[in-house]
Amino acid sequence: MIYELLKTLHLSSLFIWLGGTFGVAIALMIQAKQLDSLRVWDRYVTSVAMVFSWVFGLTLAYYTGWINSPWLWLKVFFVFMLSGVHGSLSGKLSSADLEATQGESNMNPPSVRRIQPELLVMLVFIPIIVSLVVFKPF
Amino acid sequence: MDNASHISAPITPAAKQHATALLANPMIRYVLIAESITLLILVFIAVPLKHLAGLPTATKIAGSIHGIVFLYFLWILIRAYSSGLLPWRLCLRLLIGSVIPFGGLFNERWLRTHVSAQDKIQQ
Repeated sequence: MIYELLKTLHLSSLFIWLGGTFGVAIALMIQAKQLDSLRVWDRYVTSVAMVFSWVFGLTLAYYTGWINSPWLWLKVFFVFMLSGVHGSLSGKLSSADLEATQGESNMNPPSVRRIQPELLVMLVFIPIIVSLVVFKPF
Repeated sequence: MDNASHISAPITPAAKQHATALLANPMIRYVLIAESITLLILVFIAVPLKHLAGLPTATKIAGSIHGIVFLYFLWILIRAYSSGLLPWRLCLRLLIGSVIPFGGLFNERWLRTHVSAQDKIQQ
């Protein structure tokens, strides 16, 4: 029962976290307006969900004893990189929002209005992380 | 990186601008201090307890706490770099300082004293 509860909380948090991260990446790609509401969402929902994903994930790892398995540490490494991707996008969002409020135009500055490399990293890392936890290869 | 050379060297306008930005965002400084203190507890309290008093639990607890704070510190650095708040050189300085005992406290103090000294000269 505790296992199912922890797993539910972990999965729910990470869906909210990754959904929010994709939202930021895509908003930076298009000519989004009103970035301030997204910035508030990123700070109070997405970032909080990231912290909860870590907390519930690590609790789950201790509870199940997976903390001693090598695949878990590889997964932790990739999840940390994914957190870095979120940090990077979140920082870009802050600076784009600042430029938009200070400038005359409320569109994203051209420097960030392109395909974000973070998107590609996420598309590669998410399947790796899921494979590691599903197959538990070593 | 040699901290002493940075202390004696005059602070450049660009460095001052970045330091001011850093001070305007106190979260980075708080995490810098927390990271440094947890490292000191780990190195000077938990490690002697493990090897001299035979208490391996001490490093487990202090190590986990320091690990979590260090990861949060790295996340804050990545975010600060991406938002243009800190240049990569200053990020590197803070990163190197954070793995040396007292380094983080030293960096935090360096930023505070130099920025306030520069402000007094300008006034």
